[in-house]
Amino acid sequence: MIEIKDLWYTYPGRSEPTLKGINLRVEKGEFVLLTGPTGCGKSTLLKTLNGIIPHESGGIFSGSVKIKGMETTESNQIEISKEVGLVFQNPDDQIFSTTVEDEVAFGPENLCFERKEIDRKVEEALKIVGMSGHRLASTNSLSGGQKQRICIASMLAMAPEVLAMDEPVSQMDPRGTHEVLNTVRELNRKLKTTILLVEHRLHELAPFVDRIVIMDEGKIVFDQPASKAFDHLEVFYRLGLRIPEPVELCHSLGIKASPLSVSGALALLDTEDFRKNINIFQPSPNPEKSTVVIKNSSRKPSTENNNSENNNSENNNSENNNSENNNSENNNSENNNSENNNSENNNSENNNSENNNSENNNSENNNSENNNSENNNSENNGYENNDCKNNRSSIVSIQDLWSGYEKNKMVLKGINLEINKGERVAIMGTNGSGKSTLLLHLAAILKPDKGSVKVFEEDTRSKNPYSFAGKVGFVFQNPDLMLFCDSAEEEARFGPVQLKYSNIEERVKNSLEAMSILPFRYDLPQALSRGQRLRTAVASVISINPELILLDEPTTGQDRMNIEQMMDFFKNNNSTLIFCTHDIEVAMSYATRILVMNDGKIIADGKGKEVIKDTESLRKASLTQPPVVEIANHLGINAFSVKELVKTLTSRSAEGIKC
Amino acid sequence: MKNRGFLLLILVLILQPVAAQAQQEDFKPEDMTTFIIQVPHGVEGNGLAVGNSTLSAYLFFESYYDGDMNVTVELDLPKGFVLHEASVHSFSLQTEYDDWYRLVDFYIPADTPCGTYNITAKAVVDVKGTKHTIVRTTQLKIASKKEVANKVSVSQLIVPSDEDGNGDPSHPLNTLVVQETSPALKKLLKVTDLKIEKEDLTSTYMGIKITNTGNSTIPVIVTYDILDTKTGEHVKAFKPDIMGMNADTLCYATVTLSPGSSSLISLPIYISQDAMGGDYLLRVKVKLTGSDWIAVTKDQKITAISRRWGPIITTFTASLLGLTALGFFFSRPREIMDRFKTRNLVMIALFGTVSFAAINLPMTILWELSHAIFGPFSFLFTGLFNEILLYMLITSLVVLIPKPGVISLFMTVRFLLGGFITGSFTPITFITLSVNAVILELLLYTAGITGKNPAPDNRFRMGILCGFADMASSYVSFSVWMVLYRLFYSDWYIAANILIDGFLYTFIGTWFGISLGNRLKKVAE
Amino acid sequence: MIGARSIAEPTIKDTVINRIDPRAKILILISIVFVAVSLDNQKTMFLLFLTVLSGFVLAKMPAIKIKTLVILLVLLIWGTIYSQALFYSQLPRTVIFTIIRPEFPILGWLTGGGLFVYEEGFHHGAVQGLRSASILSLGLLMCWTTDSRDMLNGLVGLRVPYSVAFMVITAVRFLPIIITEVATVITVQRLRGFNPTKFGSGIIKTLLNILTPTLANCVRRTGTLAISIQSRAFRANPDRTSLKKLEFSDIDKIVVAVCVFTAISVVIMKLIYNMYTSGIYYTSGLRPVYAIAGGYL
Repeated sequence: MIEIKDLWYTYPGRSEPTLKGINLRVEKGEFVLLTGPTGCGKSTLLKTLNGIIPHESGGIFSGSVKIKGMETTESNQIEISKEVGLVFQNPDDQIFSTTVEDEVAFGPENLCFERKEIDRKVEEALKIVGMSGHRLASTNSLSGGQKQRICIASMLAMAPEVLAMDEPVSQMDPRGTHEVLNTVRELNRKLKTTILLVEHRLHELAPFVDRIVIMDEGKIVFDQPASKAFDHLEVFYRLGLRIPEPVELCHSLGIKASPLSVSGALALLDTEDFRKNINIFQPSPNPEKSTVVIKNSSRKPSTENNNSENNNSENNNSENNNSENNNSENNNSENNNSENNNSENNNSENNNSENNNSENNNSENNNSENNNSENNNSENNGYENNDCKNNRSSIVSIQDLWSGYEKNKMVLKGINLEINKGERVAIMGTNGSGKSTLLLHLAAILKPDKGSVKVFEEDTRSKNPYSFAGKVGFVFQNPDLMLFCDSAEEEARFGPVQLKYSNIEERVKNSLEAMSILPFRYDLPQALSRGQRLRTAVASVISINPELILLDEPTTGQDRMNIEQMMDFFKNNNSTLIFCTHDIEVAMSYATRILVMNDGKIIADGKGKEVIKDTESLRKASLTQPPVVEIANHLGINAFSVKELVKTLTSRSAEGIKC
Repeated sequence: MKNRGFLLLILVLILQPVAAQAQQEDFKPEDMTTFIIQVPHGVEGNGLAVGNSTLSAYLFFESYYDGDMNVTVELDLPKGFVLHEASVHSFSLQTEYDDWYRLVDFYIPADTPCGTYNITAKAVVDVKGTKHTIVRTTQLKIASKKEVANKVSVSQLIVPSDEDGNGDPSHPLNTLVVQETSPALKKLLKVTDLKIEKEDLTSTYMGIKITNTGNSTIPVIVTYDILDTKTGEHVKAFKPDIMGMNADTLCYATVTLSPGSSSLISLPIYISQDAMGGDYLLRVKVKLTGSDWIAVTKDQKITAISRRWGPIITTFTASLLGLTALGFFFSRPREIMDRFKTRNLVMIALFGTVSFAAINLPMTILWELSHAIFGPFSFLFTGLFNEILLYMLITSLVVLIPKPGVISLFMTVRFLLGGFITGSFTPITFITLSVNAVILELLLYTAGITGKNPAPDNRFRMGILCGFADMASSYVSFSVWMVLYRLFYSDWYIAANILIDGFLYTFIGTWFGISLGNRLKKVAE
Repeated sequence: MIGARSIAEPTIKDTVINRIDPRAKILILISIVFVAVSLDNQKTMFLLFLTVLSGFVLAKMPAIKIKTLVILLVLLIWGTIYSQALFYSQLPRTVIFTIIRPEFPILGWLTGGGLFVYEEGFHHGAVQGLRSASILSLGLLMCWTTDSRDMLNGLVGLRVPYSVAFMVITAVRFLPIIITEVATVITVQRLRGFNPTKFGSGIIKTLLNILTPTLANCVRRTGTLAISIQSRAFRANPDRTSLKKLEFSDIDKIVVAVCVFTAISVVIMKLIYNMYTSGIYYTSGLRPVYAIAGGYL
C-alpha cells in the first residue's frame, strides 16, 4: 500500500535534511505506529504521503513515495487525495467549516461527486466515526474528541485507503482519546484502512497497533511488530519514549514478555511459576480483601530469587544482554532522577499513619460514593486541614462558588475548596467539567456569580488579574499565547520589569536556566520549538516568583521531557501549584493532592493515592486508573507506580525467601 | 493739404447763413424750453408721500434757443415743508440743447396733515434783457401710512427666477443651490479651461410682483434681506461684498407704481461659497421713496441646498473605482485566486479574523462610546484600532505574503465578515475598503513592495505609501459619509483626521507592522 | 454590556424571515441599503426603519438579541446625534453649549473658530441616524436569521468564487477561537504586571504584545489547516459540486423582485430629482417624478 524508498527531504531554507534516506513499506490493512522524539521527522514523513511535500512545500526532495503503486511526485492532488487522508494533532486547526456536514462534505465536493453521492458519503463517514447525530451541529460546539472524529470523517468521506494521522490524540482528554482511538481501531479492523499513526503516547497506543516504527534524526531506527517491539527497550529509553506500564513492570520484574495491556500483564503475573516466586495469591477483584490477605500472610518473596530470575532471563536471551545493560543504565539514571521520588516515598512512609487512615477510610469512601460531591469534599478538606491547617497558611479559600458564562448554564456548581501553601494540586476531569473555569477564578479573571473566592485572603470579586500580578502566575494551555517579546530573555524580564522588582537580571538568568532556555535566550520565542516555547512561557512566569502558580493543562501536546522538566522544577521549589491535567500519571507523580471534577462539582479530593482508588469518581470523570495501579489492585497490593509495585513485589519475594 | 483747406472754406460758407438766420428768430419760452418738475424724483404726474419723508424735487430746464439766456428757478413748497437748501437757483444756458437740473431735497415733517399739496416751480428766463416767466405746478399727496400700506402689496415672490423675474420651472421653488466647489475642483476646472461662471459667487434672481391698488402713483424702493430664521439676523453669505461694494447698494430696485397696476421686478441674489445650506427667511421690503418707513414686508421661507461637488465627485469616483475593482475580480476570479497558495488564503483569512476580532468587534461599541467620551477628539483614540492596529496587520501580512492582491483579499474577508457577523453590508464599508485596497495595491506594486521581486522591508517607504493611501481613503470615507449619509463634518475635523489618523497613525502602524511581519516570518519558517 | 457572542451568533428558528433564501436575503439587504441611502424624507425614513424593525418581530427574535439590537441602535444613533450636534453646518443653528471658545489658545484656531454643540444638530443627527439604524438593523436581522454557512452558500450562489467563500468560512469558524485567544493574551499580560497607562508608546507596545502571540498562533495554525484542506483536494478541480442546493421559493422571488424594483425606482427618482434641484437637468415631463421625490422620498 505504501512504499517509500530512499526518501530524502530538505525544507526550503534549511541546510540539514529532515528526512534522511527513509525506507518503509506498509501493507494494506496494517496499523503502524510511527513514533520518535520531537523533531525526528515523523510529521514530515506523513506529509510526503499525500504529495503535499514536495508539491506544495517546495524544498529538496529525492527518492520515491508510492501509494498503491502511484508515485506521489508524479500524481496530481486529486488522485492522491482519494488514496491518503491526513489527520493532525489539533482538530481545531483542521476544521474550517462552521458545521459538521459542511466539513465532511468538503472533500467529496472538491472531488466533484454528485449531490446524492456526497450526501451518502457524508452520512457513511459520520456513521463510521459515530457522529451521525451531529450532522447539523456547529463545529464549535463539539468536544475535542468529537472534533477529531469529524476530522477523521472528513477524510473518510473521500474513502482513502490510507489514513495518516499526526498525533491525533495528543490534545485529547481521556474521553476524547478513547473515542478517537476506538474509531481508528474500528476503521482498521472493519474497513481494513491502512493506518499510519504518529504519536508520542505509545504506551496508550501500543495495544492497538500492528507495528511500531521509531524514527530519530530523520531516519527509521526501529521497525518491529508491536508484539515484539518492547523486547528492545533500550531504544525507547534512549529516545525518551514512554513505555507501556505493563511492559515496564514485566521487564522490571524480569519477566521476559511485553504485555501491552493490563489483562496481558495480569495473565503473565498469574502464571504459577511467577506466583511461586513472587508469592502472590490469586488476583482478587476486591483489593481491600487482598490487602488484608497480604498483610496476614507471612510468606514473602525472595529478592535473591527475583534477581536470579532476572539473571536467568538475561542468560536465556543472550541477544538482549546489551539492551538489558542499557536498560540498567537508564534505570540508574532514573534512579538518580528519582531521588525526589524517594523522598516522596519517604514521605509516604512517614505518613504511614495517613496511609493507615486512608486504608481505614477506604470502606468509608466506598460507602459514601454517592455523597462524594456534597460530603466528601468537606471530609477530604477536613482531612487535609488536619494535616495542613496547623502548619501551613491558606492561600485559596473558596466558599460555595457558582459561576457560568451564561446565566442559565452554570459551569461551577457550589465549589468549596481550601488550598494551603506548598500544596501541589492536580485538577482532573473531562473537558467542560469546570477545571479551567476554576483556575480562571483563582486569578480573578472570572468573578463568582455566587459564593466567594479568596486568594491570599483577598476577595477576587473586587479584584482583577492585575491585582494579583506577581502573586499569581498562570501558564495557559497554549503557551504560545504567552509569548510576545522579541527574545526569550525579554519574556523572562517582562514581568519583573513591569512589577519593578529588584535583581531582575538574576531572576531572568535563574528562570531561563531552570527551564534550560539559557542557550536560546536571544532567540525569538515564537520561533522556538514547541517544548522550548512551553519552557520559555514557564520561565516568564517563574521569573516573577509567584506565590501561587496555576497551570492549565500544561501537558497537552507536549512530550514527556518538557513536562517533566517543568513539573520537576515546581516540585523541587516547593511551589504552591494548581494544575489541570488529563494525564493521571503526571498527576500522580507531581501532585500532593488531586481534585476530580465532574459537571462543575468536585467529586473527589484527596491525596493521589486515595483518589486513584476511587474508581467510581474516576469513571465519572472518564478517567481510568494507570495500568500499574489496576494491576496492583488486582494483585491486592497498595502500589501506585511501577517502581512501588516492583519494590513491593520484590520485597515480598525476599520476605518469602526469609520465611 | 490744399484740398483740405478748400473743403473747410466751403463748410464755413454754408453754415454762416443758417446761424445768422436763427439768431434772428424771436424767443418763445414755452416752445423753446422744457421745464419739468417731479416730486418726488421719477414720478411723472402727482406724487405720493408720507410724513417724515425726505424727498427730492427734480427740476429740469432745457433750452432749444440758439443764444444766451439767464434763468432763475424758484421752488415754492407748501408751508411746513422744510427745504434743505436754497429755493432759488440761477444759471445761464448758452446754446441750443443746453440744460440744467437739480435735485432739491426737502423734508416733510411727520405732523404734516394728509392732503394734496401743490408744489410750484417758477423759471424766469432772461433773453437779451427780456424776461419771460414759466410756471410748473405738481401735486404731492401726503397720505397716511395706513393708507399706503393698504394700497401696496407684494403679491408674489418667485425664488429663484430668471433675469426678468419670471419663475423658472427648471428649478424647485423657494430653493437656492449653494454650488460649493472644492479648491481642487476649481483648479481642475481652470486647468481644463472649464471655467466656473463666477469664481467666488454664484447668483440667481428673485421675482417680486408688487401691486398698487390705490389711485395714486406710488414710488417705492424694493429691497430684501435673507435672515437667520431663529435670530432674525442678516446672513452675510447671501449679501456679500461685491468688488468692494456692499451688496445692499446693488440689490434694490426703484419702481413707480401706477394706480391699479402690478409690476414684476427682479432682484439678484448673490450666494457666496461659504453660505451654509439650511432654512432661511427671505424678507422683501417695500419702502416708499423718500422714507425709511417700510410700507410692506413680505416673508418667505427659503431653503438653501448646499451642493459640495468635491465630496460628490469623490464619492462617485470612489464608487466607480470600487465597482471596477469588483468587476475586474469577477472577470477573472480563478486567475487571480490561483496566484495564491492555499496556505496564503488561510493566512489571509485568519488575519482577517484577527482584524475583525481586534478591530471591528470592539469598535462596534467603542466607536460610539469614544464619541460620547472624547467628543470630536475621539479619533485620536479610535485611530489606535482603526489605523495603528489595522496597518500592523496589513503590513505584517504583506511581509508574509508580498503578492499583489493580498490586501484586496484581506479587505474582502473583512468586508464579508463584517457583513455576516454584524450585518454591516453598507455602501460606506464597501467603498472605503475597496478604495483603500485599490490605492494600497497600486502604490505598493508600483513601489516594488509587492510583485515579482518584493521588497517589503523598508519601513520608511512603506510607511509613507500606506500613509498616503490611507489619507486618500480617509477623505473618501468622509466624502461618502457626507454625501450618502448626509452628515456634516467640519473641515478642521476632516483635516485632523486625515493627517493624524490617516497619515501619522498609519505610518506608526506600518512601521511596527514590518517588525511584526518579520517576526512572524520566522515563526512561519 | 453585550458580548461578542450575542452579536455574532445567529438564532435559528423556523420563521418567515428565517425561511428566506440567503441569496434573496443578500439581494433584499443590498436593495434596502440603496433605498436607505437615497431617502431624505424623514417620515419615509422612519417608516423604513419601522418596517425593518417589524422583521425582528416576524423573526421572533429572542430578548437577548433585541437587547443587543437596542444597545447597538442607541449607541449608533447617539453617536450620530452627538457628532452632528458638533458639526452641524446648516442654518439656523442654536448654540446650546460651548466646548471650545473661539478665543481659546491654539484649539480655538485649530477648530476654525471654536467648537459648539448645536441644538439643530441633535435633530439632524437623530434623523440621519435613522438611515444608519435601518441599515444596521436589517444587516443584523439577516445575520441573526441566517446561519453563516447559508449566507456563504448564498454568496457562492451569487457567483462569489468559492476560494473567497472558503476564506470567509474559515474566518467565521475561527472567530470565536481567536476572540478567546486575544482575551487570553490580554489576561496573560495583566497577570505579568502589565498595565498600559501611557498613551504613546505604551499603547503601541500593548497592541504589539497582543498581536504577536495571536498572529504567531495563526501563522502556525495556517500550516496545518492548509495541509488539511489540501489533502481534501481543495482547488484540485476548476469546479466543484455542492451538497447544498439553494432554491428560491415563489415568495422569495416576489419579495426580491419588489425590493429590487423599489430600490431601482427610488434611486433613479432621487437621481432625477437631485439633477433637477442642482440645475443639471430638467424636463417638464418628469414633473410627477419631481413631485413624488420631493414630497415622499
